[in-house]
Amino acid sequence: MDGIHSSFIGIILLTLARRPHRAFSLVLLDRELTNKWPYWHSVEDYRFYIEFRKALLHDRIGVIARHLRAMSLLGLAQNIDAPEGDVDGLAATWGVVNHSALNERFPEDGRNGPGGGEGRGGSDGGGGGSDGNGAGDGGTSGGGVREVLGHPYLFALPNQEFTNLVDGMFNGPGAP
Amino acid sequence: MSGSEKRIEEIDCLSLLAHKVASNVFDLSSRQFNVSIRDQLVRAQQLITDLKQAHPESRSLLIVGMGAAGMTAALAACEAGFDKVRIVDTKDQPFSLFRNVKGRFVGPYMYEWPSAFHGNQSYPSHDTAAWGGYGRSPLSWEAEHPISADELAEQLTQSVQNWIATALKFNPPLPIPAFYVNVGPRQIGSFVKDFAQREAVRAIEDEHGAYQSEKVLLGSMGAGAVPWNGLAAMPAQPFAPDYVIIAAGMGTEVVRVPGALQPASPSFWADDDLKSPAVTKGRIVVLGGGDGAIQDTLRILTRHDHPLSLIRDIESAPAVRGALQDELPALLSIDRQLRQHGSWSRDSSGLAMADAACKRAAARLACNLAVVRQVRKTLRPGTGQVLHIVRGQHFDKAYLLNRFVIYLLEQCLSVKPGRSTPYMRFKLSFGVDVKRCVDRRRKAKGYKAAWTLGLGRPASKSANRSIDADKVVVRFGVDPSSIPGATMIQISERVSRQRSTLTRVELPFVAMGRKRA
Repeated sequence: MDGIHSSFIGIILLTLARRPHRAFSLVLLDRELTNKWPYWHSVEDYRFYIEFRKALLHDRIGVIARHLRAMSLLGLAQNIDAPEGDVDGLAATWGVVNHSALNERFPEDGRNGPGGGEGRGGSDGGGGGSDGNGAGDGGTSGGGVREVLGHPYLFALPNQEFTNLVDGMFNGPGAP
Repeated sequence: MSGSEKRIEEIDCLSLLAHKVASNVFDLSSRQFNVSIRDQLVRAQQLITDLKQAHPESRSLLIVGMGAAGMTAALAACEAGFDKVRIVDTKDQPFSLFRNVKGRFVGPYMYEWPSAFHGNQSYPSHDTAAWGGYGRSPLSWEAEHPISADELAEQLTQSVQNWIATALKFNPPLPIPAFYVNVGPRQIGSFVKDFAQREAVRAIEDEHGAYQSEKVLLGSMGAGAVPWNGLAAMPAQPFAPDYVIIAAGMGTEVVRVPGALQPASPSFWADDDLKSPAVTKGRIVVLGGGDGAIQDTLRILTRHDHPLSLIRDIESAPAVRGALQDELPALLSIDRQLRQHGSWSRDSSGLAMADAACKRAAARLACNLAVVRQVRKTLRPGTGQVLHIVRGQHFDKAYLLNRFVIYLLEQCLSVKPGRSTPYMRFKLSFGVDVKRCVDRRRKAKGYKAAWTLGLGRPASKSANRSIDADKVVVRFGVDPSSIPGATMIQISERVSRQRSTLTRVELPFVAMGRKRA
């Protein structure tokens, strides 16, 4: 998280593999997004700025970063700055590793990327899970306990501690 | 929407948050504050009940560990509506931790002393409390006194078999867990790690409505994996659980004297020779400030195998019972306060408070010669000495029964009897640590003691005195570095050591969950 502050970064999600020939990247902008009028010279940039501010309000940046991290776990995306993994913070550039798999996972007629944000937690329509795990969560959608249960780090041990815990199974006085 | 139309669904999820360690993975086996047999059963039931309520569509569950907690979770899950439950263990039978251990005694309410219902040793049936009749548990047993761990293992095994027989009589029959023993620890460990990682991804995909990745399949469980009692398919079918519950025990028990190469004593869940006549003739050093150390000191000093039997013996004289009854309200208040304090704070001031109160109560009782005489009757005859050494300034986490009884012994034995003592002497030392040791167990000859310990203050690097010992019992408990920290709630991606926990929240005496099948 060195040097990263939400008011100093802008993240552009250029494409979500709709066009496999393009790189899929997050770009760190070093412009300060404060009360200034940073993009007055460009309507496009201004629109982006407004959308970005909205995204900040809704924590979309964190959502995007988590999504990318999840994709890297699946081997679909790779952090170019730290190819070995161990991504820390939001400032990262990502490349697509497996275009075809990515296209399968995010089909053209699917949702409009992470910016959509509505109807979260309903049926997924994809049916990828074998046991119906993707079904709605019975009224607890949108931050309910189901989301907490599966969340990568909400109420979870840090990765290394979890690994140590699993490696220690069957050892020690409490082992049945 | 008007205010009256707003509905907020309230569900119980405390146990889910308390035990979650990774995506869709829960841990019942480490970092728990209270770990009596009853605590383990109740904790497992609460987790299953809450899990099914939070995710009613979930059907499959992998449970790692066939101990009391794991087995309870497996059976409770089948009752709750999970129809694909697999429970695995690396040993060749369930409850292996307790098997053949005849020197440790277990009772479901023993450590609730001085609560009125501490004497009931059957579980969950109860006739001394209004809530007793409402308790439910897939595992149950009947006993009049605390029973040995070995006997408990037998009773629990029988209870599992009874549960299965009953489940098959239902129409339609209740699902029965698939029991696999002798599984490979590496295969299971590797699966659990992969499972957690994949479920994290799936959760994020689910959140964004993306196409979900496939679940991880548990394929091979190791070459030696076999069904227990034929209660599973063989060969095992690939299995993709919705959730994983770890109930396998973990952490390394410290049984070495600091500086020694070899363990000084067997692990807690193993038989030892502390009840042998030879022990009463030597100098025994007990190291540790928790329940295990106190129990072993009591076992060496007295004729009794467990503290409940000891306190019953002490109060068997009417005059003593009256004196003790006068102290019980204050002791009960201390117990309740200590447990509540433990839920909210890791500060050790609660333990110091309980220690001081127990010591005061014991000192008052020791002024009564009838009490002193009765306490001395419980002692084993011997010429030896027990030196109990605690690093801290007070006992650490220990049940009130243990804490009070050891102080009562100390106070009663410190009163000069006026003639030669036919029983072992006892000294309790706080704020002392072992700085060095010489282990001569294999080469001690003649006059040489088996151990020489250099003792000093915990903060000091050097020893300021040394003592010889014929035997050293080490009960430091689990090495904290070998288990995840007791504090575990992580609410941001950024790793912080400033975390909290829910595992110290006191549990109900029995689980009174509704049947959700």
